[in-house]
Amino acid sequence: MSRTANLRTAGRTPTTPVWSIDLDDAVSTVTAAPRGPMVAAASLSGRTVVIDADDGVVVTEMPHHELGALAAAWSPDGRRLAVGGADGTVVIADITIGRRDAVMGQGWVHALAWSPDGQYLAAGRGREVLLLRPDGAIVTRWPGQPSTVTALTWAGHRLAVACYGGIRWYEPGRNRTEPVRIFDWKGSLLTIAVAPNARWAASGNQDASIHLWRLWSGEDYEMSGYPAKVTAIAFAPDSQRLAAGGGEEVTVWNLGGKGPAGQRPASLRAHAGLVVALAYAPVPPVRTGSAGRAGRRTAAPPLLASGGRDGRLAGWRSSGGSRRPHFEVDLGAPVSSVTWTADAALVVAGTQGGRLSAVRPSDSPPGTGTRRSS
Amino acid sequence: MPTDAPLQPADQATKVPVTVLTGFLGSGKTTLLNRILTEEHGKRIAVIENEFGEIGIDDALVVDTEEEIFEMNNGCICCTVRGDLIRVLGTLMRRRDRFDHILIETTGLADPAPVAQTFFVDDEIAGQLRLDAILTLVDARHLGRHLDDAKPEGVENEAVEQIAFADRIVLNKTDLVDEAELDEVIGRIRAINRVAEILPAQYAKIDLGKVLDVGAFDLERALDVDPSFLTDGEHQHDLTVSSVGIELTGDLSIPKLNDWLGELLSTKGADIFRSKGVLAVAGQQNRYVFQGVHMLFEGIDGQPWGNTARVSRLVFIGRNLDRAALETGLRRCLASAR
Repeated sequence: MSRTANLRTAGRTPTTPVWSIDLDDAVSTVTAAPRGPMVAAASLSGRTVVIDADDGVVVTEMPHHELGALAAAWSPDGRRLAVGGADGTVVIADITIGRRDAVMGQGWVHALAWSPDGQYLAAGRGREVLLLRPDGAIVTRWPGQPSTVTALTWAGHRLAVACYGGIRWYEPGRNRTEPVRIFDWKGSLLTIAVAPNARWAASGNQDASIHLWRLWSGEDYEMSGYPAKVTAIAFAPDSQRLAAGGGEEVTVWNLGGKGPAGQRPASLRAHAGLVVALAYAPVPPVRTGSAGRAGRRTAAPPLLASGGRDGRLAGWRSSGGSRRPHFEVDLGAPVSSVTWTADAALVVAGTQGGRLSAVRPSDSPPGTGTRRSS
Repeated sequence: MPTDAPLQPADQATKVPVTVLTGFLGSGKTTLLNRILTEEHGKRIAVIENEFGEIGIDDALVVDTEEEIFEMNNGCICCTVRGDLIRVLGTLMRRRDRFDHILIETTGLADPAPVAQTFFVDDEIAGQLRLDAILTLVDARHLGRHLDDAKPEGVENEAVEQIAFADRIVLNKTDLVDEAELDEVIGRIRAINRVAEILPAQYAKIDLGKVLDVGAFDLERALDVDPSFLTDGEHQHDLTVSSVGIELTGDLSIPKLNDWLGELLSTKGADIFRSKGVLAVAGQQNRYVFQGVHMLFEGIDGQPWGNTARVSRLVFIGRNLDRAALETGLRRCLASAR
């Protein structure tokens, strides 16, 4: 590994991968642990590897999933990794002690999400949602969803289930078989996200649109007219912006003020193919003694990484005048998934060619940018 | 839907062909599937099934999926698509090993429209796969009974629908009927669908070259139709689902054609199952070729006319088709018409 010390040209950091490894088949998902250096990558060969992002070394492999591993999720403490596949199996591994528990069944496991307190793992398998304990014990099942569960996410203690017809909210504690709330919308939801401040939920949809809900009121917005189905959406860590794919541009909606009604999104152009993966850099915990003064105001906005079918991985400062990418790198095959390491130092991207690459956007640590006068 | 970006023939060649297999339970779908997998064993074939069949071939990748039909807005047109297919095919196509052919088996009572429409509306699917043909299997002995099944108002007879949508029809179990019965069954199929090739068979034994990679949805070959049918009078007034073929000499105007077809398919699209056409357009050296499924259609420039007579041919297969109105409509699209 060579460090290109503080080389900056016109605001860009020319980048080549810090490390790359090859999996046996297209990477279906790559996800970094919320703590520590570990990154998990699942592939359509059925293989899932856990990698130490610091050096790109495979630390452990998860059990094989026939027909492909499709979903992976880390517990909030970064100890456990859950992986689901087309074989209907969910495996939960405690990486620290090597223990593994498996829940078997039928149907493709497309979605996995840990509750923020780490007490539950929700798994979408076919038309069913399974609620599991960290040891794989089944707490409850919510079968008979309107279609295959395409995505799951949590807002506090509520679980959001995406499928055809909207978002259905469940509350594990209440022991109810019916959703506690339904955001009806006649369309096929492909992906969902909840803003970190729990004020917004958004979905990317098959009919080339984004749907956005205010969580409290249920008031909703539709952003349509995208060139293609929207498979990638991401909220910024400050919940003020929503980035979306669905075309060759990354569109960024401003959620501040009165909301997105009537506004036009910013569009970021670097890709020559559909943008299919988006991830904002996490805001790492403030280290004591460093930015003691109003850390947030002086911090540079977090980087947004975008991956496209054109094989390009690009990074953007989510605000600021320049619409040019902060960094760009060609990964040689259509990008399928993108994640940031917990310390926001590396972007790890998987491609349809089966390659996993880590890119260091900049040698300066995040959070040390200068204040902008705008 | 009308598309601004025509498909390039070169693109089409690199796409993986997909055959949709429809037919009632007992018509021999599983037998045919097993035959295809056995005889084409050198190829990488993926089979997507909705019913647990008895496919016993190790080489093939068999994926079971539950039919999920949903409505989707595609521009101003609302149509039904198969959400499960979008997901399963999308995942298959991301895999490193490429398939030579994909077979989709539908349930016995399935409406073929959502399957076909999926290939028009999802960019990821349309970009990598091409719908090769809709292949319908029918049981020579029982077809008549299925066609006569009375359905409640507003519910289409599935056997009629599957025949109407077909590009190729395997008339299976011909050993169970005598010649007179066979002629009658063929007559009944023809009354609905005059365009599809009928392949009589026993134990689903057919020349696979006639059903696989035939390019029935290939716009270049959209209308390999017996010309006599196009000029045939309408004999089947009693049938609600039938075929109408129109032949017209003289160049057509593209704006008029767009208006007419757009209007026709958006208002009558629910009743028009399939439409195909090879048209002579004023000022164009090449044929204008189109294919439609209900309200969705796609058109491109085809082969040059060269020395052949510039005669437009159009076929509609659907419910309650009004031949006179369709003929008048097309005639109004003549560049010379006022």
